[in-house]
Amino acid sequence: MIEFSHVYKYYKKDWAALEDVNFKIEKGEFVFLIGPSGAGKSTLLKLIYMEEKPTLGEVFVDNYSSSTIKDKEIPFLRRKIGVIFQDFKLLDDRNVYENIAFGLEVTGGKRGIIKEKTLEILQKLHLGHRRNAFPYQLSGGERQRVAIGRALIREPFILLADEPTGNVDPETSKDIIALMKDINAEGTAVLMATHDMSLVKGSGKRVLNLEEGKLKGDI
Amino acid sequence: MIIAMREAIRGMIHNKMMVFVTMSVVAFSLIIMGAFSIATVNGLRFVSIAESKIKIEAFLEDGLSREDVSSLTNKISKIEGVSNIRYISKDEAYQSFKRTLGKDKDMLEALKVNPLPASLEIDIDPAYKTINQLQKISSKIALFSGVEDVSFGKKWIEKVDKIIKVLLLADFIFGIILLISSVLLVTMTVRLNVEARRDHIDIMRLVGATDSFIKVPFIIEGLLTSLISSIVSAGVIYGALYLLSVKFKDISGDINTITVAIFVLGLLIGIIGSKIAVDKYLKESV
Repeated sequence: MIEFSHVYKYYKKDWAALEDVNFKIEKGEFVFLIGPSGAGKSTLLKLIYMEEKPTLGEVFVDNYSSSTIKDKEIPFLRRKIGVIFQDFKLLDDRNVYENIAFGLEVTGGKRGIIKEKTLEILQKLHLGHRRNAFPYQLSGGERQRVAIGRALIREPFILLADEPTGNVDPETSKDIIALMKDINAEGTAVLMATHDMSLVKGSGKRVLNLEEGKLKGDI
Repeated sequence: MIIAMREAIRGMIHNKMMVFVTMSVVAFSLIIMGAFSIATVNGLRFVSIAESKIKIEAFLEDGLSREDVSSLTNKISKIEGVSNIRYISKDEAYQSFKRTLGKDKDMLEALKVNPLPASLEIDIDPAYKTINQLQKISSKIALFSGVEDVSFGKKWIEKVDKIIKVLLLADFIFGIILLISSVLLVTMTVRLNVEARRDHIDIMRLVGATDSFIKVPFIIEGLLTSLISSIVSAGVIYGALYLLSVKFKDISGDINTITVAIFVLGLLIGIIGSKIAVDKYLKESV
């Protein structure tokens, strides 16, 4: 479903952000991507949703390959991938409902369907009572749940999470991890980048360990 | 489409001061362009009236017989570009000159003899009323025996030619300058809004919006901005033309055509300006 084959990424000539990275993620898997800041975790995620392309090697996502995908096909690939970030990337001038619905609106869905799915997501993420609140009125955990809602509304086959717990307290971190596990249990693969080892320990999930752009371990 | 429209209006409200300035400047530019086109249309019309009066005069030697004149007329009429010939006898020339002199006609009467030659007034097809063609035709006529001199108001024609060229050049240069500055201004306004909504665009791309979906609201925004400018300037131009046509019957130019042209031009400025702005942003941030 996702495969990295001898992937190198250079931003500068003598400095590899990623070096000969090889791995596969199968349907419905839960995978942690760990490593210190600057190890190349974000770059790796960007290669999956094709915001970046490898300098060498090939990335396969679903039926697309980084070496053959056309620019105009990228939006269609992204509709199958959910992405969340440390800084949530919510629209400040829209409320919770609108932020979640946005994920479907921009791809031209029908109004009735958008409404139905948004309400469904609000309920699932326990955000129904906050649907009219604006991002600045929400706690960090709530904001991240809204971002997850926006990602899930498209029913992606994988959820990419770039340090999703980076801006929340430890208690909320646990809630977010639990939520991710629930999402995974329903069949959506999860690839979660983090440098917080406490979240990974004892989770029993697969861990990709990235150090200075190289994959040091796949446990 | 409804979503795009809503996004466009959100953007305009967010950016209202800049939108207002752009609207005003674009409207002002369009009005000036309109005024110039009215001046040009009327200038050219005046020139064409003046040109219709251009004819070649061939002055004849004294003592030509009726047959001589008729054979000369025949030969001249065969020259390409000649449309009509009228014979003016010595006597007619004398009477007409006397009328022109008015009070001073005594001077002419004191001469006792008629000093004016007979002549042929030669009308020329409009297509041949260029300085080169008139020169060519005149020199052909001058070669015929019985013709003493040929004149066609060369200086006057040269002046008219110059006026037309200057008028068209000024129009062209002003038009281009105003057009480019209007497009740039719309580009800048939309660009500011694009920058202000950078996060918004990034999120749209993240969730899989196509470039054209991202572009549409901004293009609508440029279009709405210029639509208002177009309506205002077309209104002003229409009003001005209407008032002028009531006051001076001679002022013309097709009121509707000019109004519609200004309106359409305004919309094009909006579409092109906003498209440049968004395309540039999307290309830079792939």
